[in-house]
Amino acid sequence: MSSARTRRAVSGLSLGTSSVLTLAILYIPVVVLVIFSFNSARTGATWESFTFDWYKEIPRDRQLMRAITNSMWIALIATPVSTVFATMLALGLEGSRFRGKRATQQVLNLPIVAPEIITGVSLLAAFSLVLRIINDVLGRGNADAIRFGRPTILLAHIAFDTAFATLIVSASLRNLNPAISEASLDLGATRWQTFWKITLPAIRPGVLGGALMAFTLSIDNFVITFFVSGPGSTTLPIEIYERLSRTISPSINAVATLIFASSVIVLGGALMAQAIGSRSTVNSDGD
Amino acid sequence: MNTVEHREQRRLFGLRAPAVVLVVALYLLPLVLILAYSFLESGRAGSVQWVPSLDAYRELLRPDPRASTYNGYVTLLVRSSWWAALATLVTLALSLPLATFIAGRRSTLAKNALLVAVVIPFWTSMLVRIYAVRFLLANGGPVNGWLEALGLERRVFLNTPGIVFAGLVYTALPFMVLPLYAAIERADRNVINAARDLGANPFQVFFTVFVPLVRAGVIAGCMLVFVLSVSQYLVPTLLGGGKANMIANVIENQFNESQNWPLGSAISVFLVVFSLIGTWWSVRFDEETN
Repeated sequence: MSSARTRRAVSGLSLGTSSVLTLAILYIPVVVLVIFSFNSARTGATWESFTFDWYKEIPRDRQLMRAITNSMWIALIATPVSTVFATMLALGLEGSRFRGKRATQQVLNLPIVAPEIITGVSLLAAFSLVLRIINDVLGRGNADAIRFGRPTILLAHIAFDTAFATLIVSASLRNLNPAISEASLDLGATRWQTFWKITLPAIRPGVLGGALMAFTLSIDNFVITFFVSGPGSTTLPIEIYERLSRTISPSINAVATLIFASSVIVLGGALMAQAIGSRSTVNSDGD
Repeated sequence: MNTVEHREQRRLFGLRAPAVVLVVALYLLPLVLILAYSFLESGRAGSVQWVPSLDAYRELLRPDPRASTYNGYVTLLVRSSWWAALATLVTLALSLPLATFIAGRRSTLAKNALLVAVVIPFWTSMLVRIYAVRFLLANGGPVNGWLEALGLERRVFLNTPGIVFAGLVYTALPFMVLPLYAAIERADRNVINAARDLGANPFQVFFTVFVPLVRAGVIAGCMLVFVLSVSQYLVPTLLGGGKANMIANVIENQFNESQNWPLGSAISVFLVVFSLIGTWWSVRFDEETN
C-alpha cells in the first residue's frame, strides 16, 4: 500500500514539475517584457536603472495617440452594438425550432472557426467590390472615392464580436429556468416587461461578460483589421506592428505592457461579473 | 402549427435576424466571393478580371523551376500543415500535465488561481505575446545579454525555422490547456480510481481508461490548435522575418504585394477546406461521444 502511495506522490510531483515548466513558458516572455519596460537603457541586453520615461513618451507621441483613439472609437461602438445583437441572437436561438437550425448554427459559427487570415482577405475582396460599385453609382472619382477606413473596420469587428459574445450570453441563458419567464407571461406581463424585469437581470453577468469579451477582441484584433483598414484609420495593434519593422523605441515595451495590463483588468472584471452571477437568485438550481 | 406558436417563432426569427444577416454578409458571402475569384483571371492592379480561368489552380500546382528543393505552393502547403501538426502534438504534450494538474487540485482557490493563470494569456493580445518573445530573444535582447554576462557568445534565435515552430507552440498553449481541462474535469474520477484499485498499472490506466475518457476534449483542443497554427500570420512574420513563411504569409503577399488575387484566393480555398473539414469533424465527433 505504501509503495503505491509513494508512486502516486512521485507521479504527482513530476506532474507538478511539468506544469510549472508549461506555466513558465507561458509567462517568462511577457514578464520579462513588463520588467524591461521600466529599464532606462535603450537596448534590452542590459539593465541600467528603473525609469518611467518610456511611459511618459506615450502621450507625447501624436501618431500613437491617434491609433489609440481609433481603437477606442471602434471598440466603444462595436461593443454595445454587438452585445445587443448577441443577446437578441441568444434569445432567438434558445428553445426555438425551425427548419435549417443546424445549418444556421454552422454559419453563425463561421467567425469562430474561420482562420483570421481568410476572413481578412475575403473581407478585403468583398469590401473592395462593394466600394467600387458604390463609387461608380455615386460617380466618385479617384479624388473623392469612398475608401477603406473606420466604417469597414467597425463592420468587421461587430461581426466577430457578435459571434463570440453570443457564446457567453447563450451559456448564461441555458442556466436560466424558462419556467420563470413563462410564469411572468402567464401572470400578464408583456414580452418587454418580462425581458427587462426577469430575463435581463438574470442573464446580466453573461451579457456583461459578452460585452467585455467583445471589447477585448476589438481592441486586440490585428489580422482581420490589417486587411480592412485604410490610410488614417490605423488602430493600435497595426501601429505597433508597423513600428516593429522600423527602429524599435523602448516605448513600444511600455505600450505593450499597458495593453497586457488592460486585458488583465478587463478579464478581472469579467470574472467578477461571473462570480456575482453565480450567486444570483434566479438560477435554475432554484434557491 | 397554431397561430400563437406561429407568432412566437416569427418573433424568435426577428431576434436572430440582425446577427444572421451580419454573418451571412460579412463571412459567408465573402467566402463565396473568394471561391469565385479563384476561378477568375488576375486583374492588372490587383482585384480580378471577370473572365473564367483555371490559371490560379495551374499556378498553385506548378513546380517552381527556380530551385530543386522548393516545388512551389504545394510544398508550402504541405510544410505548413506538417509544422502545424507537429506543433499541435508538442502543445498537447506540454498542456496535458498542466490540465491534469489543475483538474486534480482539491482546493477551489488553488484551482481557480491556476485557471486564471491560463486564461490571462488566452485573453492577452496575440501581437503582444509574440512581440514579447521577439523582444526576449532579439540579437540585442535580454537572453543574449544574460549569455554575454555569463561569458558565453551571443546567439541568433530570431528569423530561423526553429523559433517559428517554438512560437507556434507558445501562442497555442492556452488554447489547448482550456479544452483539455474541461474534458478532464468532466471525466469520472471514480472510473480511474476503480481501474487503479483493480490492479491496472499507470500505463494501462493512462492509455485504456484516462485517454478514452478525455478523447473528445483532446480532439477538440488539437483541432483548435491545428487550425490556429496552420493559418498563423503573426508568428512567421514577426519571429521568422520572412525566412520561414507559412500559408498565411503567401496569401497576404498575393493580395497585397504580388496583386494576384485569384492565386491568393485559390490558396485560401485550400486553407478553408483544410480547417473547416477538421473543425466540423471534431464537432460531430464531440456530439457523438456526449
